[in-house]
Amino acid sequence: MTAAIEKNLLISAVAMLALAAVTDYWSRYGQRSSVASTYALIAIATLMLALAITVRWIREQQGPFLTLYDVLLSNLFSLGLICLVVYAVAPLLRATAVIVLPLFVLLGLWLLSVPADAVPLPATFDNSWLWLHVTSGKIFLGLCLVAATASALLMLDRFHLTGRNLQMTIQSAQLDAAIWPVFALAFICHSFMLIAGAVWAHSAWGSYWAWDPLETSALVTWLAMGLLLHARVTYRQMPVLASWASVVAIFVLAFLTFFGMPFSSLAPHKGII
Amino acid sequence: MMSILTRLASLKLTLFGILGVIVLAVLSNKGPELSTGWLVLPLAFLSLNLLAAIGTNSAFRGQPALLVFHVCLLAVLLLLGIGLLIRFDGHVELVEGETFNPNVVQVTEQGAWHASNLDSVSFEQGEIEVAYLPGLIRRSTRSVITEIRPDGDIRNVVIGDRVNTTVSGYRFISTFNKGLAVVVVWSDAYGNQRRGSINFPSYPEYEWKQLNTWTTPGGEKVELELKLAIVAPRDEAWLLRSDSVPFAIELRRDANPPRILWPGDTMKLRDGMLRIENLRMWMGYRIDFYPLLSWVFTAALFALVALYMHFQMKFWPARQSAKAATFEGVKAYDGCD
Repeated sequence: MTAAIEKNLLISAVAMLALAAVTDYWSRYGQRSSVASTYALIAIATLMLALAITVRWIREQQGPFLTLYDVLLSNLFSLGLICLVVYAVAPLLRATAVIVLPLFVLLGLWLLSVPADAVPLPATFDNSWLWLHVTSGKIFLGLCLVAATASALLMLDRFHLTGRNLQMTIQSAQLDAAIWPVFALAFICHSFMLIAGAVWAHSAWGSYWAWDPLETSALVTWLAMGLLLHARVTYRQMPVLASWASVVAIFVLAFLTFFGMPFSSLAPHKGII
Repeated sequence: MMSILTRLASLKLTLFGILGVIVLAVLSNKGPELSTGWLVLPLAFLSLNLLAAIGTNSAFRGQPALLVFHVCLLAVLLLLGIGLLIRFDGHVELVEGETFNPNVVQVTEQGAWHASNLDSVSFEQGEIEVAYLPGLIRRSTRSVITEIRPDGDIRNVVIGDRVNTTVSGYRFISTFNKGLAVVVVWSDAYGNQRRGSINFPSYPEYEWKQLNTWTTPGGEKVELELKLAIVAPRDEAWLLRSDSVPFAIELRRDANPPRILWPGDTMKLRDGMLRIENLRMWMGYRIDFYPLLSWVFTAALFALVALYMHFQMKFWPARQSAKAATFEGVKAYDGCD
């Protein structure tokens, strides 16, 4: 019964996101003033995802932490929420919705296609540091998504691939300037994710660092972010295209860390039952 | 001298150093034993690069939050390095009723500067219970130990999935590795008795091969197989305890037919007599010694706060005018590439 409710909520949320993507596209290319309806649709979809998580949580007696389904579900919710907050705080970044929303729809379709079976959370995993680790990780990914999509948008704009109407909505210099505070915040969140993760791992399986693929991938992402921040100081005339491409590449690395690495190995993050 | 320091402080070298760490971190995933040690090189290089920058770059020193962040990062590296030199990692299996013996601890890793203090660890293993969900999914572990403190005080400590205990600086963590052990008494030809236990493989993980070989004090090699009266239930919740499992031991000797021994049974072997007493549980503990981790954590948090303050000074005062937004004092967008 609750599984059916959860499934229906997810289907509705993905449909809402698809509708939001269409509305957003329409508002930009059709030049109609439907921005409010786009964000209302994202908010409704996010609320539906929150309800789906709640229903699942009550049924399974545990949070969505372990399986690919859990990770997709919780991240689709957190990414939606973070984008809503960012769009409210920095309206300039709303232009990124043109890339973000189709990505959400793809994530939603992926979520609907994977098995929803729950795997019990190992007892050792369940402590408050897990929450801090996961929450900071999700905020990082959300901020990184915004920075990367803004960068991608600027790259498309630079190559005149955005179309005339969308081009009018992109204020390149301002958008570029808005990327770096978001990227900096993402770096802070990623740093905290690594710290909280080490404390959690020390408690969960006795080792603060084990060089498992997920840990290594997260560390490499953090180092790549540090490298980019240093490169921008070192090469003061660093080509903007290189900066934008680097931000996009870092997001791809982060995306693989979140949605690829945990499910490609039997390392400790997978959980020893 | 100054010129060397200035060159060493180059940000271009910082980029090379970070790239070196990235390459070795990726390689460490393929074989940690090969590349983890090599990580010291780029990290030491980055530390020198940072120290040189602090000494020679006044612009860097003029950004206190950024300076504190980097100094804290350096402190994290130093503390982790020293921590690795004094660390200890090992494991031990303890049977219910057994007193901890540092001589049976198996060392996994030990830093060159570790001065062992395991001799001062004193506790006795108490009752062990492991709860399972249907499907043989381990839910919770409860292992009681009785700690005997140097002042003679005795206290019971329950170790479990979320709780561990630290004795004399060594942290004891219960692991998924646990099983059953049979307690036996050996009587030699002179009537001297010795009590001990023979551990069987991890249970219920290796339920299908609960056997072990043992060389008696009389020098005879025998094989013991634990015969349990129950099969670990797969379709219902279950509590594993030593007293919940009726058992017998099948003892096999070369060229002799196997013999089933029940609790209390005795059997004559070469130069002595073996008596089967009872069944107990053993728990596998991981033991570690990382006394500097709380300092690493503190330094890392300080670094994070400093980084936040640095970014706040860089970005948020400029929010009033997006056009004026700069990064590290450089106009981020100059429209050319």
